[in-house]
Amino acid sequence: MHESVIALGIVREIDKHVKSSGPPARIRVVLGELQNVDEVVLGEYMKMYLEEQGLREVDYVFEWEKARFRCSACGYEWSLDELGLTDSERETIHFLPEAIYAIVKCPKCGSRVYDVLSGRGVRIVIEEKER
Amino acid sequence: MILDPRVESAKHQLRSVRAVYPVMSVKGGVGKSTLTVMLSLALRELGLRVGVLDTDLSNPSLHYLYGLEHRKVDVEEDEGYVPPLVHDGIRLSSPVIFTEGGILPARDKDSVNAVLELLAITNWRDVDVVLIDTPPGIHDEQLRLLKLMSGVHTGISRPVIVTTPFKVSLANVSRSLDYINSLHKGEKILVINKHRGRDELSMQASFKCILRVPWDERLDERLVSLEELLQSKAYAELRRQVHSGKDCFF
Repeated sequence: MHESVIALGIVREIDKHVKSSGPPARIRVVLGELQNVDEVVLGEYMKMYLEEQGLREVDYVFEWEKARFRCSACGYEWSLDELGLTDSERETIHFLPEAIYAIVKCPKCGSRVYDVLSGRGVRIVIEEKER
Repeated sequence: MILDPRVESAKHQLRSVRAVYPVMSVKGGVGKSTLTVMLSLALRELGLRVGVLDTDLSNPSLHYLYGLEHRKVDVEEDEGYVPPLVHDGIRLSSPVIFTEGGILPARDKDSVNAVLELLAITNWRDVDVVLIDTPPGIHDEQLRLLKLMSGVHTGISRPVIVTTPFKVSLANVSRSLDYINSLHKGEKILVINKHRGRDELSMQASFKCILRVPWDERLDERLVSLEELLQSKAYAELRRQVHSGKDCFF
């Protein structure tokens, strides 16, 4: 679990943006299903860091994004639900999402050459106020 | 606007690191990984606490050289993870810690993502300098790493280019300097590995310093343990040059 350092990165990016462009209309923190962060723990750390930065009034929402994969060999597309990963594998992928390439093969053809189409990790989407 | 929190996370993790040395080579087979390990030992003997990051995702090998391959690594969590000690005062962060020795056949943006993730999650506490072993070649992956490092580390960042003394190898380094310089304007170190006799260098001015590691016919058999490596002729000479030319690294 490394939600504290993810929260720190999110708050610092928000802080830089607010200082350079003012408060945005909306902040969405998109959580990729693959990285599987603990939303409650992340939220607690974000609250703490936002207060430390004097950004208590900044509002944001968490949005989850489903992880999708597409095989480069056979074109098959799948989601995490099909895989039945163990807790240990989920924890490994939590730290390093690309570790999935060492763990998972295409469920249809067995290829390890595939793309993560969506839901990899954490990103911040800033929606600006209309000027 | 989309922002990536890992850049700030990586900055935080590297905040107390004095210097970062990406170890690069234009071609494979020049002994880059062995040299990375020897440099870590030589810098450690200067009293520095050393971190080593293996970014060769498809062929990580540092864990073998540090004797980590047979050990089960318990990940210590603290603002990310604290990489294990592989020698007194030397910590190794490697993707194999998460893949139990497996390789990551990651491509293009996946490689850059994985390296940025490793930088964001690796807590370099108690580390003064970090050596980054990169995959062989000067491709997009390595150039992106240089660009990334300039964004996440404010201290000394000095690429170490490893080559052999052969004319073709030196010519390859010379040709690649333009690419490297385009993303790293600062000072660089050249290491001529497997050095024998004299070399005809025409690019001394491009480097802060040049280290010459002698050809050591027994080096391969010394790679069984760090204790053996410390006894090698190649290490003794590298150590002498690192210790007599400390300003090369700072």
